[in-house]
Amino acid sequence: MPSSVRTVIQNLKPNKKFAYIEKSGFVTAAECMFEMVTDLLNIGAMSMIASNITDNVNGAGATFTSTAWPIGVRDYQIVSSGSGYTVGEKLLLKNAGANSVPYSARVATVWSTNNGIRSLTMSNGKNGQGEYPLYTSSAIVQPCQLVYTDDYRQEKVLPQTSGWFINLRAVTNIDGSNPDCFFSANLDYWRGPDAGRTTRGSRILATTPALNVWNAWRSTYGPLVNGVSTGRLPGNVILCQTTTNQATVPIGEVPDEVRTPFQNIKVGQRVFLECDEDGVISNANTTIVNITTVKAVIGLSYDTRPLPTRISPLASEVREVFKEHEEDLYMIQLSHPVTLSRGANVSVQGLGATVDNTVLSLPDEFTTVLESRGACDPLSDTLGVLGTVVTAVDNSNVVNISSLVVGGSGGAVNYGSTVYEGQQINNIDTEGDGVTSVTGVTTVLSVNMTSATTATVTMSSNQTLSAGKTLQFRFDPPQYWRLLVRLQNKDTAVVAAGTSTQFNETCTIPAIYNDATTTITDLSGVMGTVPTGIYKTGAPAGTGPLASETRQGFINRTTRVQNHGQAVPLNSILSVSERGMFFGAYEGTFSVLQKEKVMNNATDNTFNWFLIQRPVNRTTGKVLTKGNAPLFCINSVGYAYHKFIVRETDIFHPSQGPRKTSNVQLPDGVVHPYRTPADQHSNDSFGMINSSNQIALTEDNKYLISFLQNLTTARFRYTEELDMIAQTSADVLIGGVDINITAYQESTPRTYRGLPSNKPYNTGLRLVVLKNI
Amino acid sequence: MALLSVTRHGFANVNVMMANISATLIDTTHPGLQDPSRGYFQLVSGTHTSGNTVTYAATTNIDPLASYQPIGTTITSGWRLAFIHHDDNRMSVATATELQIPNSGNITYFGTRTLTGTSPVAPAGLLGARWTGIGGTPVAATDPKTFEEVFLNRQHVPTTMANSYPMSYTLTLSNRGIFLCIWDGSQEEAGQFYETTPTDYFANGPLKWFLIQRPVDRVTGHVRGGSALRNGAPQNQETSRCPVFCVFGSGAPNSYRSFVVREMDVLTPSRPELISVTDDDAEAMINPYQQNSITESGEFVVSLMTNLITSRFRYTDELDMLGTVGADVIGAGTEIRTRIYGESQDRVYTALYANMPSGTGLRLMVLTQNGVDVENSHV
Repeated sequence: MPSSVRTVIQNLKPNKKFAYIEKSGFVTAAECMFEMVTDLLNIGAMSMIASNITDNVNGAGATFTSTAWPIGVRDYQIVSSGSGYTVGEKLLLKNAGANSVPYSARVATVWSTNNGIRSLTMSNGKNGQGEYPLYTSSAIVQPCQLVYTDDYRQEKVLPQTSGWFINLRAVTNIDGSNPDCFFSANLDYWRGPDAGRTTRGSRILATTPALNVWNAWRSTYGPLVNGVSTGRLPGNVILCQTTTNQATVPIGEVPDEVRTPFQNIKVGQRVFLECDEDGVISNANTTIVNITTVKAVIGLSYDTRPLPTRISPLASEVREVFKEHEEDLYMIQLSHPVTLSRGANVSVQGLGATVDNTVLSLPDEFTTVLESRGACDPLSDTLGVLGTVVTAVDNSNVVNISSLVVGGSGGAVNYGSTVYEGQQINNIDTEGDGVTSVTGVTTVLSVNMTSATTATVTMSSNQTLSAGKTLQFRFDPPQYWRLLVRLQNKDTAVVAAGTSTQFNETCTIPAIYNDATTTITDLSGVMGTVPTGIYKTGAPAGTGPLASETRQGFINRTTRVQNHGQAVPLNSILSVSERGMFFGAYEGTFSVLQKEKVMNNATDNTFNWFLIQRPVNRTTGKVLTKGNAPLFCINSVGYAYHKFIVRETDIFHPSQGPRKTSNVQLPDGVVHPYRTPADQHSNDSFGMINSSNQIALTEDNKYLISFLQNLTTARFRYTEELDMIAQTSADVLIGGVDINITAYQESTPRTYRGLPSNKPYNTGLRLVVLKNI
Repeated sequence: MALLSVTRHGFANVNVMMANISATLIDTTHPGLQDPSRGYFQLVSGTHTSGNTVTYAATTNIDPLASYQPIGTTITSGWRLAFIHHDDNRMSVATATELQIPNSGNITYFGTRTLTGTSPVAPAGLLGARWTGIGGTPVAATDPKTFEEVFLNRQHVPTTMANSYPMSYTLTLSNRGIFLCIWDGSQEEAGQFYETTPTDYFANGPLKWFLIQRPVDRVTGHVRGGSALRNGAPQNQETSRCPVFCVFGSGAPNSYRSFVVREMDVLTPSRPELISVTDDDAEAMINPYQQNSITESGEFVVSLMTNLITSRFRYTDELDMLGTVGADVIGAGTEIRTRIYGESQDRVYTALYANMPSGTGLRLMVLTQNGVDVENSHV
């Protein structure tokens, strides 16, 4: 949970299959929806099918699928930045524990002081040689070293180098003695400024006269006298040719043949010898501690040509002009003495960087599919209940049951011992007599729970049952429903409800096309209005919400919020009962003011919510679990109210509204194609919400709260109602206030909590949501 | 008190039909009248002839508070009903208190309330859309809006053709209100869409109705304003505002409106609001569209008028004299029997005509027989 988030209320009653969780402080919609999924999983209301995560931080759009939760982008935090690294270098994570597969990382930026790694870009591939999963749910062993890959030089079984230097001028001699000064080393002879002069007799004077050397050398080792240093090169100083070619091409992708000498030699790098070079670098952590650029006089030339006659009257007089010839060299000081042959190639690497990926950061882009469980839907309970026949039944359809217990052997999740109408009745041969009493397919027509563990059940067919027989009551097969949550970016969320037919491990949302199958007209089961934008680059129109149409998607506030979600943090309310769930997200008191009126925003969407619920009997409160068992979804995005049927017993897809609802005058004067309004009557659909200013007070100074009634599917009308939310006038109740209602002849009152109103300044419609039972 | 419901057919002339209705309204011979000296209404003034306004006063037979609703210090009658005969073919209806519909028959108008000079708009308590003609008159007869502004408009039915389009009416009178529906032609074929030049010779046929009723308790069915809901206390101990609701329709979608005729302490009709859509302080009471009424078990659901509000209060009561149902599930004229409010016997609701062509859309179900022999919750 993000550190800024606070749990305001958490009312968990697993024995009653109820949970109410209210949180605040979500900076992004991604955080908000992530927490909703987390809570749904934690309370056992839903199970995880799969998630598809896109890493736009480390993986540059890389995606992977996970069935674990929580998901997250591994935040590769640099514990030690090391030194001597080059931007673009490709590294691997060493000793990654469970994640033994090589994780590749590229150095993105380095510190200017020591070339330590400042930031990394993680990669999920290995230069096309195979894909490596970038993320898992488990953390690496920390801190984890960053080591070099060796993509192109594996045959040498050597680590990849950052660079190397060649043509060493002076190093510790191989025999162990300190080397002479560079000047007595194997100097190249200067051949003259041009070919003509060389052929005309110029020569190198190797030792005389005295040469000037660079100041640094002079100060450390004293001046050279007659070409011989008064000092000796220490064993930790090496000299090499300089080059101006400091390539920035990532070394790991540069084959040997195009490598440039003296690339990327930096202070802090480790030095090592490749296998075919002579020398000893006894300390594996020998690093470069200082690099000085010097100019060294490597030779003298003496012009033997006669002087011009106009200068010297003597024809035999020659010019005795000595000319110094310089060369750029690097003086490299190492941390430890080394022994190297003159001319050896020395390689270098960055050293010492370690990372820690034990911190998961929330991905901005992910899609998660959840499936209902018994805790939020009786028809998703695979265990059912077991009960014992109290008295023998002889060709009757009424049986008394006792000792009701949770069915099945799992028992990990206690969904209670309620027998539901519509459950199939099976016989469990507990006596082992092989007698199966229940014949044919019979279901529970009606049930009267006479106590917590006893019931009188009316069956759909006559049966003959012995006393003591164990019966199992369960929905077979279950009628799961699924919830898809997609974060298109951190503040654009899409929520859809349907079945496994629509939403599966691929985490995609099936589209509904027009007749020509070239244009997407809608996405299956999505909240809000029809999406007309694109999900991601390259996707066709209609695959995602349009940023400028804030009623598309579930939370669509990217344009309005930009990167300043801290100014408009989200609150969330999650209510889960045995018959469904409600989730709402609102922007603090901005949801009260509403910007359209107060801050001149085009369209408000500061309070969005959805309810997915099986209806209850208007008299008894029993959940409708028999027949076609419709599952209703009512949702509000941008204060536009819509409804659809998530599924029925025999209908495996979420319903869709008509192409046009021109006969409906919506409060905002807009027709929403392919949507069925929930707040107005329309063809084959009754309105069930009054979204206008309304009268709620009665003459005796009470106010009325209405459950959502007039439920219709495309085929049937129902006298049941939705009781997880209720509506009243915004004026009589304030958001965040609790009210108690005794409903359905229950022995104790329920508690409902006020939600933000739908019009500015606490006017219009006030919804209340079930907070406690 | 017994309930009276009549359905009569074959009226080619508006005035003749209204005279027939009038006779029923004021008839004192109905069995079971609580006050047999009067009918459901008393004629106050006028005759049903062209250019006249006929006014009636509700009696205690139709309004439990008819004799006890003080207006000022002198007037005690409850609410009144006026039929305004513009001419032989056009008739408007209004309902209000005696203040707006006085004995003289000169109905007072709502006005523009302009500071520089108020001009009349429409009679107070008009059952119809606000008049948009000049000087407080209905819109021009050639404008299709006339069908919404004038309750009953037969101007497009010449006398020579009137017998081809005979009118029928259903009138229900109870101890709590009046329901009247007038139609002609073949309603199931034409539907209620008003056109200037229709192609269907059954087009522009009226399906006009209104219900003026005191609501009943949703559990007991007792009339608000009656003694039963006061636990037998006398009328002067009535604490409720006792609103009288008027719901009316011209048939076409979005032409259904309602207003409050009067309350105990509000003595003028409220502004008519559309009731096919929710709006500010207006509940959707009627779904005028094609609709599902059949349950999974094959029964169909009839909805009584609920969501009753005044401009101040909300009521859990219902208007039980009228229900609605999907037009497809029952034919016009068919009776259904249902037992509600814990009554001892079935009520009878009778289906009227659909509001869309070919018997689709909404169908009204009007109460035509009580669920008890004598309903006396109003006494």
